[in-house]
Amino acid sequence: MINAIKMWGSFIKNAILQRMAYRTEFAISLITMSLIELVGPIITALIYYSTEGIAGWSFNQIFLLQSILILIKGISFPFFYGIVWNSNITLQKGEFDLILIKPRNTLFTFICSSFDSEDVAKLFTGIILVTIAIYRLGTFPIFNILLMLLSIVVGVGFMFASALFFSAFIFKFIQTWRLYELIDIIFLYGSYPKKIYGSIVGNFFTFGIPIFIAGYYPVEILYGNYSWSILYGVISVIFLVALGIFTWFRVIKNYASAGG
Amino acid sequence: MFIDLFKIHLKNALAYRAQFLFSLFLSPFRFLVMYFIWTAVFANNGGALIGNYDLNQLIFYSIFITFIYAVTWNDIPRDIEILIRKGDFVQYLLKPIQYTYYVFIDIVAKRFLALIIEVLPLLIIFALFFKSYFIVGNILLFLISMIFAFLFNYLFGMGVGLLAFWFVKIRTFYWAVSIFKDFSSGNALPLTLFPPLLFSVFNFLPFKFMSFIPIQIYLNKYNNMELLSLLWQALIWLILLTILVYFVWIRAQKRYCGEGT
Repeated sequence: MINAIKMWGSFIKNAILQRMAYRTEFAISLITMSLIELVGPIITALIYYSTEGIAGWSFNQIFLLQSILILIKGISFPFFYGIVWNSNITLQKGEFDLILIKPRNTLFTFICSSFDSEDVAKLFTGIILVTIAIYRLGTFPIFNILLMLLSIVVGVGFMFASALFFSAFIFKFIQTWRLYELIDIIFLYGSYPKKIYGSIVGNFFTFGIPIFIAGYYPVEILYGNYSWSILYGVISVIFLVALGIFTWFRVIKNYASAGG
Repeated sequence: MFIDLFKIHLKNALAYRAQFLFSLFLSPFRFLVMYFIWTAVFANNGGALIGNYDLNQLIFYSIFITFIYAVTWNDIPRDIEILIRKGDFVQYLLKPIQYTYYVFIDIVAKRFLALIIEVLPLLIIFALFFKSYFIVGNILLFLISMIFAFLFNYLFGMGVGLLAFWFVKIRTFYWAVSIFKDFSSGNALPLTLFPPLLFSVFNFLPFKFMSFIPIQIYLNKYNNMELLSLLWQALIWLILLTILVYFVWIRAQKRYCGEGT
């Protein structure tokens, strides 16, 4: 275990050193990454500036929802979501073979080699925004905050499952750059309360692609609004992680070296 | 040349079936989320106008943003950055057609294809399920304004992309200015929803011709005098930007030394 953490650490160190070769560009990149994440809350603020709001939610509540989503992206994107972006690149360059011959678990090695240093900016942005949002909303019972943090872990689990499925999809179908747009759109659906979508779409994003577990439900939990849907969402995430791991290895088994 | 490039892009699109399927479904999927958001906002707002738009107009705005995005979008900065970084740009200097013209025709071909595989599915879904939101607008003037929108997008992409001749890695800068462009063009939200000061700034800049103005024109929001004034503004901005991009292009060619090959 310690050995694995050390290995991950060296990959992270190497990735940062590589990006530091173009220091100014790296710095601009970190700032830009933070700015990109602020687009959603800014749009919401503008909507609230001109209207009475969305579905009875206050701006601060939606701000918290979107901040939690950014935080979950901030944990996922640098540390393991890079496998999605990296799948297309390694396939095209034929570099995945190098991962396969490493004397370690293929998925773990691929995750280590896909560390995305500039996405760390999302993590810091997320932490700052969540802190501001909770501060603006007032005080909450410590138990609710702890449960919310737990639900954020489940949200990260959902992100892990989705990374596995998307990566597997890229390996299976090749040249799927537009998948990234789909990911953005799914996050857009997750950036607003479930109530606005109606039952079919709302249930789809609770059980099918449970993006609400990464934003909407943590806010509900913070307010003590528990429902069975949360439990079903958690079960759905656990199931998706297991299925994602199975699918990923299954697809990799059929991988035939190409590209280069 | 346009037909040849169109055929190549069509074959490319059909060769990768997953990519092709994404192209079909992404636009409707993106539109749907905007539909839900605006419907919820209006329900909460008691049906009052928002930024001078009623619900139908805002739904239409979302549809047209998707349409305009599909028809005018380009990724010139990313393409130029890759060509410069890998040293592959040199091949374009040997071709009997200037790079800037080649890119222009290439993008026209790509966007024409996008019109068929991205916009048509969206229009079909709209016609089937959202018929009640349909607004008969000023189609002719809208199409003319779309030509301007395309040209502004092309000049913006080329202008930013040519910076790669000096700075090589411009990807993040491109992202940063794209965020600004998304807001100031009305892509993110109608400009009338912005605070008055920001609205005045964005109204002065040329980005509004990329999305906001074409939709306003379709929705008949201007009288003849205003339209004429906008036409002049657009022409002046186009001439200024063309001169600027041409000047940068000349300087860029002088600077290029094939590094990276």
